[in-house]
Amino acid sequence: MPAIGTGRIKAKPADTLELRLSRTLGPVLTLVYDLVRVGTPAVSIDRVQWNDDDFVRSTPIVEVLDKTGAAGRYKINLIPVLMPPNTDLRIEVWKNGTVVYGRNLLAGPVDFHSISITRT
Amino acid sequence: MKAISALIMLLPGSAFAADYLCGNSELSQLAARELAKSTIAQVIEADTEAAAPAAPKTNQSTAPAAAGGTSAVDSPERPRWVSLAIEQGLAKENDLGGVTISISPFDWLLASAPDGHFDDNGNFVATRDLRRLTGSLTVGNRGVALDSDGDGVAEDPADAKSLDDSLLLDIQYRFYGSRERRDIVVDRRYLERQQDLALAANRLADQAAGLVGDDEFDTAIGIQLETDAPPITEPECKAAAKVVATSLQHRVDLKNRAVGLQALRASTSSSVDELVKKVDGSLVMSVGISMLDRKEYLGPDRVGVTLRGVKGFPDTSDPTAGESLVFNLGYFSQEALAEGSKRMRGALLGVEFVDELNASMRFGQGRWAVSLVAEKNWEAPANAKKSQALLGLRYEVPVSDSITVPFSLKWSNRNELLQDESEVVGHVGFSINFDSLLARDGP
Repeated sequence: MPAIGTGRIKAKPADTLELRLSRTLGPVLTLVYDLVRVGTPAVSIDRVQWNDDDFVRSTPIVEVLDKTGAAGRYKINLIPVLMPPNTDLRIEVWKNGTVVYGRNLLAGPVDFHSISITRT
Repeated sequence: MKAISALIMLLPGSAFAADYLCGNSELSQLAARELAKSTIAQVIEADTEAAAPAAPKTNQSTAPAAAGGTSAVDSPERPRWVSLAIEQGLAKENDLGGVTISISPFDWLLASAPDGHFDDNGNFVATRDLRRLTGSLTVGNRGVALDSDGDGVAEDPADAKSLDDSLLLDIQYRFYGSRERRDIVVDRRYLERQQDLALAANRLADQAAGLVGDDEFDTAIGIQLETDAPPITEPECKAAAKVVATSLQHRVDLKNRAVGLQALRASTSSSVDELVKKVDGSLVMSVGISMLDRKEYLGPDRVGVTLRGVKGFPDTSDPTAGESLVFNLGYFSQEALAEGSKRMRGALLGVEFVDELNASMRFGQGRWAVSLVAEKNWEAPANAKKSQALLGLRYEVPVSDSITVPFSLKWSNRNELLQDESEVVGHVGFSINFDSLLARDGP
């Protein structure tokens, strides 16, 4: 699957944003989704944690980013912990039904994954 | 410039598209590491760059006869269902001139399922119990050395004149344990460790939120990576990360968060490695039955049961290395060919110790193994020995990423057990197997 976009997404208040997550070739041991309002200090406004059972029930997992409705800057932080060696997590952000961001994360050393959203 | 970059992205196989696309996340990760580097955390950063451990070579996961050669040459003599199995990749010619056909339910399911169906972990895990049962049917195997004229000298083993002159059925049921990493999510033995990982990921999320959600950090990233900017190259990305880190040197709180983030990454990655080692080293046990029915000129019929097991002992300091112990306990009953003689019965003990060497070799991981197979027979024919033993030493040398050449040295008290060896001197046989060098992928 191709890499799409830079991960800095601009959207108007009326735009619908969705985060879509799917995995293949192995299990997701755990995946934290954290929606953060940018500031000093930053404020976490929504957090969900999934595991492979959740992917079994629904693939892709779709999280509507409606808590980013107000104007401002937000960060989607994802912490995927994937089973080596083959698990492949696909992360997509859809704006009004179109993919504006896409990345495949392969199992490896654990790291955070961050996407910026600016509502203007 | 933007247009050229966008064009490069669209070109199939271009370095940009295939190798690197620096985006917000990649730049944030690199900037966080640069920020941590500027303090005491260089050591931690280096620790987190270890490669993901590769899946171990599995032992005893399929019935023994299923481990055959690599040729897939078709023949007009074969029954149509055998040809079908070959077309599906479920049958292979083996080293004894026969054809081994998988009768494992999952193999047939995999061959008949739509492409990618089992890429989904849910679909794969749903077949967990089905995968416990494996088996194979082998037809047309060469026979064993027989002294058919009674002169005390065994003749060369005869080739099967027809595929159905020799039928070998192997069925194995794995009744305890699994080393399949994809099944871990439904295995309660690992539940506690997965819960620990969930807590660790939550702590990582807290740390990441405070760092990348900081106004100044996000602004510094945004300056380097505009919303609609074209992708930047790996060197540009690294340079941008250094600029971000330099601009934040006055923020001690962010530097501390960056250090904490790297430490949490390292410890969480280590926890995953520990979990993987536990899965790879777990005890797996299976029971198998084997039935051999063949014409008299190929040798006696035989039926047997075997208990098989494998236990791993992962290397605590190297996730790619470790040892494992494979054992077989068997009992068989063999048809008497000579008139008036009784069925021969036998007990078999097999032990193999395998040591995976670390991955510092040029092309990958080598391994060596030592094995002992001992057999004690009862009611054996007068001219046969009552016991036999085979001691083997094997060393597998990786010569490329996908090719391994095994060297083997075997000693046996009965030379007929060394018939597969290239050279036999006294009771010692030596062979080098170059099959993997000659193997070709199918069309």
